[in-house]
Amino acid sequence: MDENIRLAERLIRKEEKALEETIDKFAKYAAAVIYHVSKGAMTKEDIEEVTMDTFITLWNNAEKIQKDKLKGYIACIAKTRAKNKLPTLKKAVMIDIDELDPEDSFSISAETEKKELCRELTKIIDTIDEPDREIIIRHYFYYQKINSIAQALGMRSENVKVRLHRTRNKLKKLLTERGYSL
Amino acid sequence: MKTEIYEAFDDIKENFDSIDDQSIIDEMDMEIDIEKIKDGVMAAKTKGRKKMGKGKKTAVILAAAVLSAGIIGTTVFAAFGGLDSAFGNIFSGDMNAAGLYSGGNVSVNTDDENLEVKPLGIAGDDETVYAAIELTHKDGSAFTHSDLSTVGLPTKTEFVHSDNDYESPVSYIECDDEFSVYVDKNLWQQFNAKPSSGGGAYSLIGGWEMLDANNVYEEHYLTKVDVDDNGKKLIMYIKVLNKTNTLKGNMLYVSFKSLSEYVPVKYLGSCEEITDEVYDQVKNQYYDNDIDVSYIKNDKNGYDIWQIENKKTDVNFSLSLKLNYKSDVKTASIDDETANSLFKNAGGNISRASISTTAFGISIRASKNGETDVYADTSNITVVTKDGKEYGVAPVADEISNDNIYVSTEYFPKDDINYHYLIHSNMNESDLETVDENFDHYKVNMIDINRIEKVIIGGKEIYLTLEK
Repeated sequence: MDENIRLAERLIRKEEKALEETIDKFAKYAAAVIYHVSKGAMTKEDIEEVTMDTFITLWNNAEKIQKDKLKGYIACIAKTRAKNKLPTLKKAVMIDIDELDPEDSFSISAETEKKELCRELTKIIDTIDEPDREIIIRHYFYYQKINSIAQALGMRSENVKVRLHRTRNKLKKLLTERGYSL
Repeated sequence: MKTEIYEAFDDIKENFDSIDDQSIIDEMDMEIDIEKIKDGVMAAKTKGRKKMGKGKKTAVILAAAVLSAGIIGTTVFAAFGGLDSAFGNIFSGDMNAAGLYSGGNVSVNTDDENLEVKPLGIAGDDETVYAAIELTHKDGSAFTHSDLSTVGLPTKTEFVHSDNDYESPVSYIECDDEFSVYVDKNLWQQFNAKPSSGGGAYSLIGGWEMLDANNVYEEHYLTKVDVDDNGKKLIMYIKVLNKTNTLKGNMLYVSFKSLSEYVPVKYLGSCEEITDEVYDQVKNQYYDNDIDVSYIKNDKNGYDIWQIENKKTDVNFSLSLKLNYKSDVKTASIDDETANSLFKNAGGNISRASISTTAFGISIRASKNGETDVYADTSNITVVTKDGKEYGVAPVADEISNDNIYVSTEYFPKDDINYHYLIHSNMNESDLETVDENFDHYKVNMIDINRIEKVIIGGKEIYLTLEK
C-alpha cells in the first residue's frame, strides 16, 4: 500500500505519531505552497505560523481526509490558511508587472455547486496534454510564476506564456461546453 | 454567483503527483524550521483537545447549552447572562426588545444575492462581546435538514429540558472549519500608525492588540448557530471581542462555507447516567461501527441514546461587519514631578508627559532623555469613575525610543480579587503571562470613558477632559 495512504489512515485514526510523521514529510511542501500563494508578502515567521495552522487544521479535520489525496488536501488547507493570513499583513503582495495578465483570473458562473465545478475542472485538466497540463497546474494550483515554471521545465518564458494563454482558452472552451458560463 | 478560476483550483484536492514539486519547494528562498512547526502543532493540538473535550466520535450531549433554538431574547439571556453590563456604555444605540444593543452597532452585508442578512445587534457580558446576525434565504427555503416528524422523535417539550422554554426542536448544528474572520486592512494600517510594541507583529490600542492572524481561528469564531421558523432562519453569534483576542479595528469580515447538522435518526436505548461502562458499551456497539451517537436528556433524569447523522448544508456567503463602538478619548497632561515619580530609572528627566484614555485602558506618553531602562510603575495608578469605582491598570505594551516613551495599559477592577490580568516582562507578546496559569481567560474591562472622573498617580489627582 502506498506510504501516503497508510499515513492518511493513521491520521484518520488520530494517531499522534502519524501527525508528526506527516509534518516531517510535508511541512516543506506546505510551506512552499504558502510561500507561492503569498507572492513574497510573508516573512519566514509568517510562513511557519501558517504552516503550523495548516497541520492543526489537518489534525482537527482528519476524518475528512480522502486516503489517496493526503498531499492534495494539505495543499488545499495551506492555500486557504495563507489566503486568510494575507489580508492581515502589512506588507503588500507584490505583483510582477510581467506576470500581470487580465485574463488570468477569469470567473465562472457556478450554477452548480463549487464541488461539482472542482470535479469537472479536475477531469478537464486530465484531458490536457503535457507540458500544458503541468504549466496550468503549476500556475493555477501552485501559483508559480511564469519565469519559475519556465526554469523548472527548461523552456523559455515566452513559450510558457503562449502555452498558458492557449491552455487557458482551451480550459474556458471546455468549461463552456460543459454548461458553465464565463 | 461567480467563482474565480484561482478559487476553483484552490478547492481541488488532487495530489498531482506527476508534478515535480521539489522545484516548487526549492524556489522558496528560506529554510523553515520543521521542529518549531512540529512543536507548535503538537502544543496547539494538546491545548485544543483540552478545550474541546472528547473527540468527535465521543458522546455529544444534547443539553440546553448546545441544543439551543428559537426565541432570540431568551436564548441570548440564557447564553450571555446579564446584558446590562459595561458594554451598554461602550456601544452606541439602545437595547432592543430582544435584549441586544440595537442594530446601529453593527452593519452587515453579503455578496450572496440569495441571502437576506440583518444585524440583530451586540450582546455581551463582562467578558465577551458577540455580534448576532440573522440570515434567511430569499426564496424562503430552510437551511437545515431537520424534520423531526419523519424520524419519530419525541415531542419537542420531551426532547429538550432546560430552564428556557425552547420552541424549536432542532438538532445540533456547527459551523465547518472554513469559518474565518479578519480585520479590515485599512484599519489595520490606520492603527499601526500608532506606537507599536516593536517588530510590527502587533499593535496595541489602549491595551488591545490589533488582530494578529495567529489568533484568527482561535479567538474570533462562530460561537453559536440557532435556527428558528423550522430552519428557515439562521441566527449566528460571532465572538468579536474578548480579553485574549485582538480587536481591534471595528471592521470584521466573516466568511462561511457550510454548516454541519447532527440529526437524530434512530432511538437506540436509554441509560440513567453516562458511566464508563455505558460509554464502553456504546463505543463497542456503535462507534466502532462508524455510527455516531448522541445522548439526549430525557424527562426521567436519564439519557436517551440516539443514532445521529451529520448532514451538511452549504451556506456560502461572506459578511462584513462594522462595530461602531464608541471611541471617545479623554486626555490630560501630567506635571513633571508626578511624571518623574511614575517613570523609574529616568533620572528625573521625564517631561511633557500626557495621559489619554480609551475604552480599554489608558496610555501614557512622555519625553525623556536617552535613558534606556525607563519603565512606568503602573502600580501607583488608579482610575476612578464617577460612581466611585476604582480600577488599576496593568501595562500591556510599551515603546521606548531614545527621546520618548509610550506605555499602553488595560483596566482591572481593584475590588475584584478574582480578576486576572496579563503581566509581562519585556513587553513582547511571548512574554505575556497570566498571574494564574490555571486561569484560561481574562475579563474584559471596558469603561465608558465618560464615566471616568480622574486618574490618580502617586496621590496626585489628574482630571481629564474629553478630546473633541
